[in-house]
Amino acid sequence: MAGLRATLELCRFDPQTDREARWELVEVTLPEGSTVLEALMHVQEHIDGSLAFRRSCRHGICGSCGMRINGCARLACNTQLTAAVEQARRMAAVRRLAGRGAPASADVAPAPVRVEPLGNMPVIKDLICDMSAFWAKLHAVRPWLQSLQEAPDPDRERLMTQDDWTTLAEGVLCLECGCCSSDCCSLEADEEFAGPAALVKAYRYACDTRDDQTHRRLSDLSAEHGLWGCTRCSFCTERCPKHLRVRDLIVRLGQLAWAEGLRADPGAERCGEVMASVRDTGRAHEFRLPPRMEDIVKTPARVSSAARALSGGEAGGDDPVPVERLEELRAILNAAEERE
Amino acid sequence: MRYAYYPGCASLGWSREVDTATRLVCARLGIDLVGLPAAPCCGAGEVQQVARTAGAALGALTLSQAGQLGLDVMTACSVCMLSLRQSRALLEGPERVAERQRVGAALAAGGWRYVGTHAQVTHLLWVLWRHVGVDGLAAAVTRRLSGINVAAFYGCQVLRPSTLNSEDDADTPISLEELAMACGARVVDYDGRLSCCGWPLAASRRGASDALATRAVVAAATAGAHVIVTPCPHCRTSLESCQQGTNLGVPVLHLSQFVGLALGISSRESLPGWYVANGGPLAARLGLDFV
Repeated sequence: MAGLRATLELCRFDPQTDREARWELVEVTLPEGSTVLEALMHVQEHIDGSLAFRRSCRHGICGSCGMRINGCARLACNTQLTAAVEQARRMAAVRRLAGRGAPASADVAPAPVRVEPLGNMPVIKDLICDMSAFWAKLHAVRPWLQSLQEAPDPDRERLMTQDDWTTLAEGVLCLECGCCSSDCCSLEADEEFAGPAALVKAYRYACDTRDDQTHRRLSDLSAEHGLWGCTRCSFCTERCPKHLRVRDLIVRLGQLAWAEGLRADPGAERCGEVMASVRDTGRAHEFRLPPRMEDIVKTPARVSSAARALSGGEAGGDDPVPVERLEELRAILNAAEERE
Repeated sequence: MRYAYYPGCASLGWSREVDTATRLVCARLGIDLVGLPAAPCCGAGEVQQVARTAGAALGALTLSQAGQLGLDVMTACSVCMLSLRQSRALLEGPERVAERQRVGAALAAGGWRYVGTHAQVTHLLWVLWRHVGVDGLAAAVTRRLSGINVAAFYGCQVLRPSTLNSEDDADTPISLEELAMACGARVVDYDGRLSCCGWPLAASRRGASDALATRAVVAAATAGAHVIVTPCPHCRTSLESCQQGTNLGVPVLHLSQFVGLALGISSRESLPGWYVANGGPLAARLGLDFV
């Protein structure tokens, strides 16, 4: 039968029998156009009924089948098997460069498609994660409309303008599939970080004109594990199956918090320092940043570089020279501030 | 090849060796760099995080200055590249009418007008990989850096989001490895070449920042790397500084410094910033003076 042949490398883990996860190779042949989810269903139905994974709608709406395919969090139903095979091949070609002195791009032997559970979450069985922390964080942003004011007209809906809707619309599309959280670098470094999905949800309510708890919401999000903990890796944006610009929405939350005067977090403070420094010299002047940053920047050789400069060896210290036509820049920044 | 050169604040301040090496590498390869003395900080993602119009206006001003010269902008900093591309995307994207009105009004207050439409933004990495080319670079190499293992560290902002960074594959990039091999080095395969160096959290969440940086350095060291090469001065500082007080000792070089060594630029010119991790053994392996 003509069809699509592929080797899957499945991550298997059964807490009742396994102490740690193991990898299992499975060969499948499927019709052209099959998805990775269809490949997994084929394995479950015809090869090994014990393979565990979540799925429901099979067309990118329910968000159940999030998993890592070739190390990248995706919806299995939304990933063509041919695309996954091609990516696996390319990844293998890059890996095979290791230790060689010459490019190996001609080396295009097929490689198995790796399928494993989402990252940053404990595994229950095979490809199924325990998402309870993920749900708890979504719940913590109070994802429902809160309004203490009485409705303007109790017999009518609370209306919003088209522009107001457009502002929050992007945040509404989230499927809560967990792909963004899986590959989030901040969550990897701090498991209490709110995570991109909860921040998207928070954005959607913080922007909603029918909600009057914006300040409180933003204040809560400005706490230690909140929006300022994002390390800007943009894996969230890269992974979102709905193509939400997740990182951009987190940036907008920061802008909203700043506008509300919520500037106490050290992450917000740093933004303010850079802003002040740019206004002052046109440059981000790292030495004026908080002492934590000086720790990083004033390393032994930086000191010796400064010492060299002082002894006349090299021109200048570590301060960047101010930009030319600084007055024009300041006028631009002042005008921008009036328009924020 | 001719570019409006945008070194960025890091390369003009505490990472000046990156600016030095970039200029020397471009001179050797016949890439003409034109200065932008009135181009401000890109905002570094920090200004943008709190002030949308100011953030976009900073990029718009730089793009307009390059636009006046009729040149594309080249930087050797991933953060600068992404910030400038983000400004460009706002001003050229679907919401451009409203954005240009807002940002244009701010620019006008300083006597400027947005004329950056034709100025594209690129990075030294892309100029080397796509324009000089792997073969072109290999032909220019005068000192093959053979016998050393390179861990290529891409970091975030030169790859993601891929809607703004389309030069290499965001999940399976190969450009840095190919350039390192063109310089005569071997590359290692390790987990973490695409992850975050932790720099954006360095000032506010040092623990998380160090955890991210250390994980990448440990993975590179475990894979047998003698040096980590990165296209971003911030990644370089973060990966170096996390090694303070540890026995990891993997030197981290900016791409411009590494390529500079292969082009025969003296280690004194290219490496004055080998500052935390142990550069001595690497220099000895390459037969260079350690300064």
